[in-house]
Amino acid sequence: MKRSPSVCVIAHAHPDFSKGGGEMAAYRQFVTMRSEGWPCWYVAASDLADSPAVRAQGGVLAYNDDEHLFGPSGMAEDQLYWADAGQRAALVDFLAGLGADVYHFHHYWRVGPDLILELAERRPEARIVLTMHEMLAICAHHGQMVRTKGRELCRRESPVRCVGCFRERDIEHFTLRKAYLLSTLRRCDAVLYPSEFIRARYEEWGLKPPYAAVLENFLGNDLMRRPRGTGRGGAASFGFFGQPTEFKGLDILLRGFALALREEEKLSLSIFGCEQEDVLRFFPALEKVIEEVESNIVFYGRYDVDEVLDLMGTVGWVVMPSIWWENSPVVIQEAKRAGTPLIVSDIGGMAEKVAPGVDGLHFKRGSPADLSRALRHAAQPEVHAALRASITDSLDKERFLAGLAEAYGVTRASGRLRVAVG
Amino acid sequence: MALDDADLVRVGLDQFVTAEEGCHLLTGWVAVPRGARLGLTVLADGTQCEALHFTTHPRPDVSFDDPTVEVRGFVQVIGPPPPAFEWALAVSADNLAVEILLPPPIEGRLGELVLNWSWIAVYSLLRSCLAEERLGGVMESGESGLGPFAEWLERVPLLPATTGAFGPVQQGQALASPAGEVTLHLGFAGGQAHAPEVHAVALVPGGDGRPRALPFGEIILDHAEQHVSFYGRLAEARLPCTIPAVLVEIAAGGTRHWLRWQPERLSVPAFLSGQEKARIAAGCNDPAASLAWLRGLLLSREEGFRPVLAGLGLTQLAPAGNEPRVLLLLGLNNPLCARLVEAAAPEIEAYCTEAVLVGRHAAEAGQSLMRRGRVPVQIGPSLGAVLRRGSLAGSTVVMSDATHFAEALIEGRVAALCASGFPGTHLADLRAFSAIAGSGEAEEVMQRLVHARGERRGAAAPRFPAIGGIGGAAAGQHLEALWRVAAAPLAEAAEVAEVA
Repeated sequence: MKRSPSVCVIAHAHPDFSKGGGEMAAYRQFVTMRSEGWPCWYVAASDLADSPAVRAQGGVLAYNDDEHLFGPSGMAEDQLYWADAGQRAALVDFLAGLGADVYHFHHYWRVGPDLILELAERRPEARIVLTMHEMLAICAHHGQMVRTKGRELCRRESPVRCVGCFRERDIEHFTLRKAYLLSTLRRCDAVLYPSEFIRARYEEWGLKPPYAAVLENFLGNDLMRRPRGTGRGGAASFGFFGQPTEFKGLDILLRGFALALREEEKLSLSIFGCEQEDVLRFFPALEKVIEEVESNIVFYGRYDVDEVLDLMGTVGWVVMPSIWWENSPVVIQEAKRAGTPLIVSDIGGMAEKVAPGVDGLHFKRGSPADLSRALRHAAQPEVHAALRASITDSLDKERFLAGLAEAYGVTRASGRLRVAVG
Repeated sequence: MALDDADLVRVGLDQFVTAEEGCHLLTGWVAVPRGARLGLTVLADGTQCEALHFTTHPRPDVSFDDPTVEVRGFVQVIGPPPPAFEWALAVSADNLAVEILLPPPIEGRLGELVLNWSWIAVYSLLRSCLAEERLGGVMESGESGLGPFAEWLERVPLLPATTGAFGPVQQGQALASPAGEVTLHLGFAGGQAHAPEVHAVALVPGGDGRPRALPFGEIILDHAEQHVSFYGRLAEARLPCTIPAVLVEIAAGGTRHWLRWQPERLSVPAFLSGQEKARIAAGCNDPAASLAWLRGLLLSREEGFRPVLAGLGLTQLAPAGNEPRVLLLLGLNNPLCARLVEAAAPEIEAYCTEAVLVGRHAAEAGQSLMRRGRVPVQIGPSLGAVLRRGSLAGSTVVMSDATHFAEALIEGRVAALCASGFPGTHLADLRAFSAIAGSGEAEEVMQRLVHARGERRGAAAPRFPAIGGIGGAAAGQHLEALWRVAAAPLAEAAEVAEVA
């Protein structure tokens, strides 16, 4: 007898409460699988469930149909484990009780690698799958692999190098941390990496699970069903989509844009996702730069995910100037879906996902001068037209589900996924 | 007028006793020509009884007007006498000889008798009892562990490690290490006719908990007119053994004094580094002499301890598959150790039958194993506490510390690590090892052993912390040399095990 595999997706957050790329990818996967008729659940960490009342009732809060929330119990980037083993055991009881064929974790932050460990032992016959979203296990600096002092990129972890970033800790701390995280993540039957870049980093770190593959996150049925964008944005209009955080490189973009503007007056920049005040809160030194480009820049504030393709269609280019490696940025997937070519930093997941001359252009990471060059080059109509014509689309549902099927170890027949049982 | 020998040799008998402590002794005094060589022999029905102990001492309570006559008190202990009807004492003083009849021995208690003796006689008998095997039983008599000397010892003044004026001593300092060693440094006033002399006997707790008097097997002395340094090391002590008190006899300025001295208990590095300071405190301000003293002491230690260390069982690996196999995980002092043990729990359970966890976070680390309930877990705040339980003797012990175990886990070497255990019967050696070449904590030495195992893997062995004082460098080299003696075979054995 064969039936569709039942999958429990366990994620660090629910997109109803936060809009990070990881939780978006996890939830879209859940929705997609459910639309295909797979029995599935979405169980996510949420501070809403971190209350004594919820804990008293087993620690799991029913949310929507087949959706549940659990309290992450104060888990933090520097505490990737459950403080209360009893609370963890209660969640494992709940998860094991679902009887899923596959437990698919998205990220381990706020989920706890120790939860993976305990669940793997409780349900040895089930398949444990993990999708990586960044490198927190490898790097204690928000998983970014960027040195804490300056913005120097880190290319390889070691306990000694980590002490260089965190002088208040010692080598033993980082050795123990690595041993705990690596040996725990090794319990996964399959690991999915959204990019070759992050796969290489984890493998170099020592993670070699029985099954590993690169499988890009799925943008979801809603966005993928919409017709490919036919954007109206001109070649000289650029857009930034995201938060002005330390690693997203908005400061590089603003400086590069100011430089480019001195030579090419017709350029414009739209900032989606934040207001000018947000930018100045992170980068007070940019005040004069913003004043300089004031007439050519617009801050649009926060936007809804459903609007993103339309918004991307209003600009000629999407710029992703992150100073950290990135993994598989959803902004790149969305831009590809929108048909808007990209200008990205030449490192990590960005360089991998944006083929230069096909999907967009690269510039030297962290260099306003090189970004200025790239912006001016991009503003040429023939360059823009060529890349709009060649930019590839995001991963489609069929290929995504096929990738999942392989990771889950299930067979594929008659267009439906089946798992052997009995 | 002609005098016969009986006029020139006079004898006074105090006691002829068969002591319930298991010896036969005769005490009294003799008056003989000054300077004459004295001999006393007990005769049982004419048969000479072997003297196991003979000593003389002044008897100021007996005197003669004749200045050519010298009165000496005596104590003689004889071997077990045959049944006899007639007892006699033959006394010789150079070429003079007399023989007197003795009354039959009466029963008595040595412990009571010695309280009335000269302390010279008591101390001398005590030393004979420690040196003469056939008198060893005397020390075993009674319940105190100190034989008939217990009550007398109670009367000997008890001084702290650093002492001021006492008898001829102006200042003194006593130090002890856990390797059964003491040093006594004494400063005297100037103008001594002869360099002062020092003898000492260790007073240590025995295995049965009762105190014991033990002679020093190795002694080094540094005499000067105003200063004496004494180093004593017990010959066959079960280490660690920090001597809590020393019975000291000091001869200076024509008098003798006795004291019980409580040395300062120090780790080996502190004991070695403290020598110079103690000598200065006792009035020896010559750095070169202090360095020479320390070098002599280090040489003696190295010669004495090298064979002990080389023979320690910690360097021997147990045969593979020898069960039960106990994981002894040390240095669990980081909160993350709880995560480490939890993550490694399945492997610990696969390769070991028990886990002993030691460190500040050992209790937290043990929670996961205890919750799983598949292997028994012992928790100890220190390795010493675990060893004192003595529960690992019948096991093969796999030792590691948090960092090395974490590295093994990262590199997938836990199985290999667990395959190289040593017999638990040799764990007691650990404490000896610590006493001789460690800083006093068994855990510290064990971690050095763990490092030694890894040394062949490229990790540098931990060095001893800098030792202060003029001989600090020499002391550090000495400890590291001892360490290498013990660790070399272990590293080789670990390498062989890993290859296998």
